[in-house]
Amino acid sequence: MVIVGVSIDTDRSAFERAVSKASLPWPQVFDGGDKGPLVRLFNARGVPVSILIDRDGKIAKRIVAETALRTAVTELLGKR
Amino acid sequence: MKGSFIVPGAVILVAALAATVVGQQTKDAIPQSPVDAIHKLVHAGRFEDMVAKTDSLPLDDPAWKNLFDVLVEAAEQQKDYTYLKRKAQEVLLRSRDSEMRALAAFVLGIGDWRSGQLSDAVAAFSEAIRITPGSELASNAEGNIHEIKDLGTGQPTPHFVAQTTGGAKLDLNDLRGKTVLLNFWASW
Repeated sequence: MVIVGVSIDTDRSAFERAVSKASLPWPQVFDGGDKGPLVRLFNARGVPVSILIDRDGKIAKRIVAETALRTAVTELLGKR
Repeated sequence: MKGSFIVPGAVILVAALAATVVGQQTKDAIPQSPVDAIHKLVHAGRFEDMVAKTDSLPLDDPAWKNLFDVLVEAAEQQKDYTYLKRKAQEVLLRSRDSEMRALAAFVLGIGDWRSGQLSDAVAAFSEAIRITPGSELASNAEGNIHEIKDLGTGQPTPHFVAQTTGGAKLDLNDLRGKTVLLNFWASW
């Protein structure tokens, strides 16, 4: 599985500090806040949301709450 | 004639009660706004009282601006959006303030969407856009219509190319054959 982080921060330095502090190993995209292109493309403003994309490039799931994300990832790792 | 004896007594009683109430109010600080009072009822799970108090509020009261949030919260708790949708429809029809009508249309869209009525939701969000085009609310409504129409499970993921902070080009097409988790987050 490939994880891509998309930051909806408006403050780039705050985002960079958070990435290095948490030493996140997956690639990150800085989208620049509510008007960012990926935020608009996926209607992801405001809330922490994750989009799970299957191997065929289709949307498999839209995950809204943090607990739901944990469940979805655990399920996915179990399936492999 | 009997009444003339009773009345002074009653007046004193009322005056005494009023004095007690005033005394309590000054002790317990500022009187509550209707939104705060209704919010408390929702937290206490007293939904019938919430309905009664909400129904007593005029449909063009400025409090609706904040009240809809509370009603959404109540609907989520009850897993029933009927009342929320009814009040949104009433405000949409009766309010003379166009921003309030747009908000009501938007809230109606949320209620329809969460209760699985997708085409009604699209219609309500479109109405919000029609009432206040170009507003922040309209932009949110556009995003929600896009999500309903184009971002459902099983639909092809919209294509994008982005640059990672490491400087690499990230093209969604290059990730075919892999499961991808696109995780939107913020440092705050």
